[in-house]
Amino acid sequence: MAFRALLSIWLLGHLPLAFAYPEYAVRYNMISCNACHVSPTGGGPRNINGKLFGAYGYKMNPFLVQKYVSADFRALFYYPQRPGPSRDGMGLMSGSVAGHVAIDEAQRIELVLEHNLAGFSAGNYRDTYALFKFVDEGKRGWLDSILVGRFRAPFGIVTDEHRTYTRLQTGSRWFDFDTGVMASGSPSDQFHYDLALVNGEKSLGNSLNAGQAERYGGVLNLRWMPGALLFGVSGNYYDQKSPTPSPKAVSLYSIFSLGRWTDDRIPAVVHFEYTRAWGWNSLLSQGFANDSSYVDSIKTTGSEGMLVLAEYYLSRHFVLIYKYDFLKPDHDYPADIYDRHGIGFRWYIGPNTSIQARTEIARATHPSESGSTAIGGQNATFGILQIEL
Amino acid sequence: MKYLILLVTLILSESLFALGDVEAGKAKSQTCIACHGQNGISPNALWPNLAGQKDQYIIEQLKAFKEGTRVNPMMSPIAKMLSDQDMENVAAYFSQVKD
Repeated sequence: MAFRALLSIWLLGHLPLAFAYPEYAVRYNMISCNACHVSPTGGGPRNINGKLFGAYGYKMNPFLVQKYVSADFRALFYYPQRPGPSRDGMGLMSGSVAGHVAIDEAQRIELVLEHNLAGFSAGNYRDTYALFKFVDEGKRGWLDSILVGRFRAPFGIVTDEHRTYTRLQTGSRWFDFDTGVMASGSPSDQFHYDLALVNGEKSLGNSLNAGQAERYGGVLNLRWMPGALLFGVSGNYYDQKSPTPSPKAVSLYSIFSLGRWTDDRIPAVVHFEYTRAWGWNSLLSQGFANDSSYVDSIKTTGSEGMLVLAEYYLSRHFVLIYKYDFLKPDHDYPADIYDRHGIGFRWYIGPNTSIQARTEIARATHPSESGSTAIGGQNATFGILQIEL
Repeated sequence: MKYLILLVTLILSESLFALGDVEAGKAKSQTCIACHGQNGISPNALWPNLAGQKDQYIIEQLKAFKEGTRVNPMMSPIAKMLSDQDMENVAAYFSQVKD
């Protein structure tokens, strides 16, 4: 039992789980994510267009071309540099099922319920919301939709690559859902915003909690896509009562679609994200860092992180991946740094079905972290089988 | 003489109605095949084949998506990336592909 719990906690924070493919949005000029996803922030259940697009030209079972049910299955094999009894092997990351249906004739009110039925235990309560749409499908305006319930916060690059320090550093991991209200709009073909007012409780926030009514949080995300290059800025703030620090973060990100720029003569995309955060470092204690006293010493420091992710499509179904990211838990003490290079591939072997494999070279310079069995300072190789409905 | 007139008419009509550049259209069609399939044959029942479609029809539909008189969450943003010449080229390419 303890073995499974430890494995779950550790893996949850540090392995990739699919969110969305914003590089496609840039490649095909879609400023709003709801061209493919139900949610305007992307990730989670997909509509018919998303399912068909994700089929990658393979023929789908015609019964699955529908807009009522989505599912997400992932199996993982993980082999770290220093394998221990709770840190390696094969497991189920996700067995998530979602129902989503428009309940009115005009299809302006949509209900989404998603639950993780199998796999890692955290993040069981996923997208659970009502979406009120104010524009017709395919159109846009200053206020496209209001979402009420539990949802993925619109922070930073919401990408399938979730093995990044920038997510851990800013409290925006794949299982960090928020509860509240979110407004989204696209006043033009080039500009999109999301503004969420949330209860500030993250994973605890799906229920009532003592003092919750006195706390609050907010997440703002702005995107501008003048062409093959997308720019974005996000900020979050979660008010807590003293002495608990109120965590906050900001992200500057960009996605450059060379495919769009060159009519696919260079079928590649580059993601870039730079983050600063304050008060989120306690998340490092969830298996990422080895030394709890070290984590205590950086709980209130300002951190700095960066991600570069490059993908090159050798063919329509085979993608080479390179990634580099770093995390400085204390921006004022840059000698302590985690960084990581990774190379691998993603291979689409069927409709909405892919295999991903990667090996990563990691480094941690703090004396208690270098050479430890915690995730932060270890090289690793992993493979993921992913099937989505 | 009448054969000469007929020949000139045929040459002129060919040049008048061949609006786009097939090779340029083929290069631009990489954007289209993600949904409409390699060589314009769609892999599913919801998205249409483009292979062999009339070029004028393709041009008119792309313009309608771009101008907003026809709306689709996938096609509208894609059409806005295309110039009039791009549309003519893409239409010329798909119209001559045999399915």
